[in-house]
Amino acid sequence: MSVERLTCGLLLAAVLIGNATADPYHHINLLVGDRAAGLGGAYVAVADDPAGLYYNPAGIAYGGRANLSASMNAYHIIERRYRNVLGGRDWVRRSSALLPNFFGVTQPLGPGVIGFSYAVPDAIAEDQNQQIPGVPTILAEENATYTINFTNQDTTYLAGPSYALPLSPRLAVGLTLYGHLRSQKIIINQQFTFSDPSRYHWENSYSERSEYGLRPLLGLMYTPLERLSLGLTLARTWILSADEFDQLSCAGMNGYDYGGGLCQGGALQLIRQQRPLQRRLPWSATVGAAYFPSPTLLVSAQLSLYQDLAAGGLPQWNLAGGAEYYLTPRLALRLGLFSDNANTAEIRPGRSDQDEHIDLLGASMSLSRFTRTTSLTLGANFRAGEGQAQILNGQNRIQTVTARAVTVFVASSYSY
Amino acid sequence: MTVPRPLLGLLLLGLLSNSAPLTAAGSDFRLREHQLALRAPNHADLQAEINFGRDIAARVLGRIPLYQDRTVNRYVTLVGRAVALQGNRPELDYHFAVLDDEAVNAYSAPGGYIFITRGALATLKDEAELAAVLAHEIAHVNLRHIVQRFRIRGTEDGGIGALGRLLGASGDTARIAFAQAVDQAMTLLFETGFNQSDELEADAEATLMLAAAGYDPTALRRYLTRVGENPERRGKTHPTSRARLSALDRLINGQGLAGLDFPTAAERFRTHVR
Repeated sequence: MSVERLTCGLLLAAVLIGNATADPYHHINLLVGDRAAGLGGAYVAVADDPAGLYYNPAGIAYGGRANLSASMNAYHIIERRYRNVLGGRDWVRRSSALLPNFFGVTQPLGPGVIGFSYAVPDAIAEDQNQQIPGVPTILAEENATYTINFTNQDTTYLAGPSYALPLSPRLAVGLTLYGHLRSQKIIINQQFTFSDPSRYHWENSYSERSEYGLRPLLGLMYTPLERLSLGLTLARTWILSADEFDQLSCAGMNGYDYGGGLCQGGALQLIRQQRPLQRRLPWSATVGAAYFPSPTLLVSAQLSLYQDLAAGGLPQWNLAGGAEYYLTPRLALRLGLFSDNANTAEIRPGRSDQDEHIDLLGASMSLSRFTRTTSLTLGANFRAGEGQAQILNGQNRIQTVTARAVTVFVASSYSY
Repeated sequence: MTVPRPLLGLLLLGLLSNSAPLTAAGSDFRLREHQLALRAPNHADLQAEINFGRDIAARVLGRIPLYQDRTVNRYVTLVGRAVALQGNRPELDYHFAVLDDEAVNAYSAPGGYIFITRGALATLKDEAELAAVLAHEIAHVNLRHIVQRFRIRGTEDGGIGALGRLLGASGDTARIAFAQAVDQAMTLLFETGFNQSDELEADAEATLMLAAAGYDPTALRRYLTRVGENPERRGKTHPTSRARLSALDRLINGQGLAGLDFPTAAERFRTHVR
């Protein structure tokens, strides 16, 4: 039993899938780091401040002798609109969360630079209360009123040390060893009611997931020519331990099965289940270039490749590019563009329960104000796209889905 | 897929070459504008700052003659140097002079060149206020406001700069750019003035220097209040705004500088200036 496939579908022709992980269908869910987020995440070849601990630990070798720390808080809003889901109506899922997005500190140590960072690369906090009248069911003589209450808290945390070592004036290597923790809680209450109060279906599900793992991130930073920097990283998250606890309560009319066949009609039923999980996450490699034509201008671009675990085909990819320009010595403007392509296979007709596939495009902007030892950054990024989904369990119907996400962030850094 | 040979060659050359290693200074291209502007200046930067300030000072003296009173000039210099000792630029040799101008104003040029007009001296009530006006100008120098505004830095050794000089192209360009920056700095000093952020920063720095030098730390606030009440006596490049007075109040109260019985040396001031 999995919450992602919970259903009371034997009774009803149209039941929503509790498709409720943070966003497992994209590789980039939150841009991390103040300067990096302003550049659209195109930071693997820059990475010379604490955000480098997350993007390319080799870069912190070029952060200078000053010790730096940086913190960032982000307000993250996501909306996904599934078109024509129930009785011709749209189903909208919204999430908003205010979260500490990044903290990092670096310190020269021996011939290199040591660092520690904390990042939240993925988070969602959904809280939905929606009622949809006139939903068709297999009881053809009467449509139902569908009510859903939905709460989903899902956050991925990374924290760990880094070390960067300059191998030569032109080449540095760095390693970050992140501990990976993902914590998720989902509560879904769904009910179908009819004009006759004796006819109903109700189910409530509760699910907890926890995941522990390691994410080593190896980085190289190479300077082939003055003012040109190349960055390369290789990373993968290994899940070492994962558990899921599910609880399903359901009740409804006699003569029908509910909850994907787990519940039978009649008396109230309670099913509780705990089981280990093992999620496999892909290898990823990122290569980027940054050009520093002057102290006031920086342009950066990168290509990220991800092992295709969905179809086993060619690597999935994302592109990012950004520019930083100093309006005054104390004020820097950053702009970025990036893709956030789906990591799922394209949805094919004639199948059911396929993961949604939405390719997103994003833009970012930030403005930093500097003093001698501090900086304050305000920024935002936006991404949007349209794709396809199968939000109804066990059905071949394909829905068009549009997704939008906005992140507003405030960050500060301090050098001492 | 194979890596193209030219690219492979470039990578290997870069990895192995010792002919043009990127030293710590060679990786300075990563330094961003704020890091360059706000970092401690190196020797070349300092020399450029002094040269730039010296040119501006010469232009100022070309525009307004020096006040020919050695006693007053010496007194102003002694007060100014006492205050400047409390700043954070021991590498600078400060120069103070009184300008023969009835307008109420004071000027500073990078490198430590400080001017006060005869008209401004006439508005001061005591030595602490003189120290305050000079401290405000010293603070503009110490905080490198003009240097940052016009991005005055030492020349780079090696790299593109050296190549440009070798080809004879960069010398004239640099001289023209330098002259243009001096023109713009004169415009800032005599017409547009510093922006409010710089003025607030200089006020705060000046007040702390005053207290450290043993002068009445409210002297700058007193002076600004009095000058601000009389628009005819207010220099147009030093507007007195409520924001400046409020910021000074916050600083004085916040730092516990209010009510201190620090000397104003009014008698000594009258002895030398009146």
